[in-house]
Amino acid sequence: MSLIDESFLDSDKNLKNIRLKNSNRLIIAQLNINSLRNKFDFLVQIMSNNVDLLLVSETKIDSSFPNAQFHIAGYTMYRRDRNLNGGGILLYIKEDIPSSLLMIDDYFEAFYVEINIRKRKWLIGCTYNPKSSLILTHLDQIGKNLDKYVLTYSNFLLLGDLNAEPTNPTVHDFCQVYSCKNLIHENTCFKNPQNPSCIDLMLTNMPKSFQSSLVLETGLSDFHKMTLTVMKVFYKKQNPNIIKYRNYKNFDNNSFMIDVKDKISQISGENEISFFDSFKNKVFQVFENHVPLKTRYVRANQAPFITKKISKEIMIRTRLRNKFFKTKKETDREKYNKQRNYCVSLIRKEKNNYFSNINIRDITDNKRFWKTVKPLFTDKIPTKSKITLIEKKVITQDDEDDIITEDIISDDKTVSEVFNDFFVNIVSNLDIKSELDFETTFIKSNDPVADSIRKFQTHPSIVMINNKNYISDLFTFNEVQFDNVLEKIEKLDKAKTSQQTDIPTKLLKQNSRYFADIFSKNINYCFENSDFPTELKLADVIPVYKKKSKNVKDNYRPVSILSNISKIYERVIYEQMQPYFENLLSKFQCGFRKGYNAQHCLIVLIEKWKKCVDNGGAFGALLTDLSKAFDCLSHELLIAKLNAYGFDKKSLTLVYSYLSKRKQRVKINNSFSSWQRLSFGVPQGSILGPLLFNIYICDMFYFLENYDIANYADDTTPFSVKQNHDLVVEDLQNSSAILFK
Amino acid sequence: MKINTDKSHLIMSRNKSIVAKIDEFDIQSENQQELLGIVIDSNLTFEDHVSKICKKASQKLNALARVSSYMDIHKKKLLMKSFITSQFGYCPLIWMFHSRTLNKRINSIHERSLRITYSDKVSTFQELLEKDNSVSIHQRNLQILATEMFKVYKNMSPELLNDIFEPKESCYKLRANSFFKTRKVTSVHHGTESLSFLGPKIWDLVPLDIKQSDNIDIFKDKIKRLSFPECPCRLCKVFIPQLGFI
Repeated sequence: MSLIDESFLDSDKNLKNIRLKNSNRLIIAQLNINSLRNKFDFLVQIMSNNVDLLLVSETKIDSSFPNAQFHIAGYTMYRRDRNLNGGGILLYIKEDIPSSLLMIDDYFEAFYVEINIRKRKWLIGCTYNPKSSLILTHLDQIGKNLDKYVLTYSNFLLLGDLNAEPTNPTVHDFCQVYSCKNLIHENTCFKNPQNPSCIDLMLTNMPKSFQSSLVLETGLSDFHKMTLTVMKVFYKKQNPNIIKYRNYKNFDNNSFMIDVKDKISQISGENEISFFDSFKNKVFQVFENHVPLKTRYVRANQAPFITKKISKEIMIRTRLRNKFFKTKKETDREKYNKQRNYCVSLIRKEKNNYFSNINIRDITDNKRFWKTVKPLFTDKIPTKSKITLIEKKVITQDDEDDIITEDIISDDKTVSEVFNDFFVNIVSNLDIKSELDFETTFIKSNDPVADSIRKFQTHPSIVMINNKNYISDLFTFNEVQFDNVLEKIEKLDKAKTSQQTDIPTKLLKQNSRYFADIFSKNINYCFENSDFPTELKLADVIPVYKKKSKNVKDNYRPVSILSNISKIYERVIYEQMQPYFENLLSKFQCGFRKGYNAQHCLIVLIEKWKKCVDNGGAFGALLTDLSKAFDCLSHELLIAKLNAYGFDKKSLTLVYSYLSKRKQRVKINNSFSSWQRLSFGVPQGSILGPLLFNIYICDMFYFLENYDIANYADDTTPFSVKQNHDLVVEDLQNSSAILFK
Repeated sequence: MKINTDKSHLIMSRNKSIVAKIDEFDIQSENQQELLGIVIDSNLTFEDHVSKICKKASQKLNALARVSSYMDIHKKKLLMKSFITSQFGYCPLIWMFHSRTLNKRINSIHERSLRITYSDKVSTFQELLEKDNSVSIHQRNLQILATEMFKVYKNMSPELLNDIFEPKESCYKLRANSFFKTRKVTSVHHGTESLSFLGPKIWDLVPLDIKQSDNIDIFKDKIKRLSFPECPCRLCKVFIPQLGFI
């Protein structure tokens, strides 16, 4: 066994050593891998946190390979493919280094990425030149692109397999013109073992920023070695990912329940108002004692079928190959080929084994199956746990141009604070005037519900609702039965996330009868006193990425994680409100309703269009976009609208108490921001939210009665069917004028 | 509520180029725009949308082919359903009237995925479908249309659709009694290729015993085994040499 040493294990060791020596510096590497698809798993093993920036060339993949398949946890990826038979480059950058793609070259295999390190911007050019004869045109194009960015970026680093030695006159000229230097001086390519060449180059105009450039054998590529350099910059690494989880090992449900009942009997004498909040806290305390919280570090993704045996055989393969390259003997070649074929068949066998051992009907197996299979099919990369933001600040100076500074925020805690500020102040940032600054003179009283009704008494929406609907019976919440609550608890989804201070859904379900009893009493108490428990109004908000740059906060939407008990309460309220509004809601509203879907909305639009064009008419539609529709709904106006729809005082107060005094904090990994009050909007992620939103926009359709409209949630599309196009435009202008109001 | 005028788009029929002044902003009409996940073009061909989903499906198909050697039939079937055929499952009634070329493309993707799933190199598309106990994508769309018609018939669908599929108001009981009014049409593309025309026709093709199912689940179950060879649409016509598509 002592004979088995060398490259595979060795490279890992070397990389590790380099990392240990330069733990706070940036390690940059590049490798010509010659087909990534089968070597990806080994690449992950070698790289895992040892390299900060890696360029892989000759990936030999095309667009049918989803990004998720080559995703390495903790790294951002940029790629430019050629086809399955050759070419293609792919760049991995650590997630905590803010980076953005500047440009992808259409004709040459090259792209340019900007990275921010310690407030300094670097231009990283990545390229692959497939033929040595093409070097002149290739470098010409790179030079042109560098010229474009020369003003913004004073530092650049050009990585790539140029297929030309640094002594090549073209490369030499290039270095002279752009005053850059090559960092790699050893031979990297051993295609011709007798005459190895140095063609994987790293060119930079700041050679002093780099140190200890070297060449490593990885055993991954066919002829190429990995080239590596270390940037002399101090950059603080982020803490490893930590998962918090509960240890159910010694948990016993019976003793848990005994303790709970014991604790609760102590507080049952207290007054009812504070009962619920203390109830939840007490149960949670007992739970903490029974099920301790543990933490665990998260490792990077591992290939499930790479066994120890495989890595050992691959080590042997590399050793045999090196030997054959040295000696050039026929016997060595045979040995190497044999071992190579054996390795391939072994990997296939292990993969086969892995998948045939999975039984899809088994739940844990099923999870495992989808986890390994999904990255091969979908482009969805697992949610990015770390978020790095770049904040632009404009400093206005007298008599001079504004200075724009960029702050890089990567600390979880600070990022969460920034997000919370942003989410809470969405409304003031949008400056919505018409609806919210509705001015009427009225005397403020202590009753906010009555106030808001009076404030909006003459609001056009309220007047319209009053005109349109005749309400004979006022809506009020009915007492809820034990069985109903029990059913709600049974229906809760165990897989859904809940807050950290929640009693787990699993335990609620196990002891559903006990909890249903308490909750049903408490819900009835809430209905009676029109008060929603404050404990259930706290929301953990997670920012969910939408599109475009990941470093800009505007590209995230807030999704509230609510307590699972809140879900039970909300569902009870929802079930009573929903039938009442089913007939009141406009028939055009297709979103969030049972029996309706987006297809219905589209069918109406398309069919009317076809019919009209068939009859020789004209058609036009205006696709509108409401900005942050859910987040800037006004509570007072909603209450006024509910009043107009016939809610009685008690139920109004309950809904008002549900909406008002909500607090939220942003959660990123395990860091939380401070709590902030939310005075607008319905929480995204709640059960009542969509229904309240539908009620809020419902009166819009009363105003648009003479116009055609298609609506799905916040997607409102006024359209028009007329004899000719001019009439259509006129119609659309009229309807949108109403809509925009 | 505030409306984003920069993100609002105008779309007019017949590719008419118009600048409309809306809320003090000039909006130029566009040839195509995405609405609720469907790419709508001003001529209603849905060519771009169907090619888009075809491209997506074929990418997943390649991925399936790559892992197919490691999986058994059940797993492959599961993957095919969840990644490939599901691509054609979103709002099929909107884009179901597309050109023959696209229909061919959809069918060939479907055929290839079935071939990979069952590792069958010799059978024809029809035999593969029989093996899979399923029908082609177009036939499935017709089934979905029939289901939608059943919902209107049973008064289960949203009020909105009642304007499009109107029941016949006739006091006579004719032999060829159909429940829905048929629309008078003048053109093919905007006339016969519309749901309001095809819907009642398809409904007439559904056998009586299936029509009178008690609830939607029974109906769905029964309709799954039904195919509509007499469908009057363009895609179902067969090419006969010297005569063209009949």
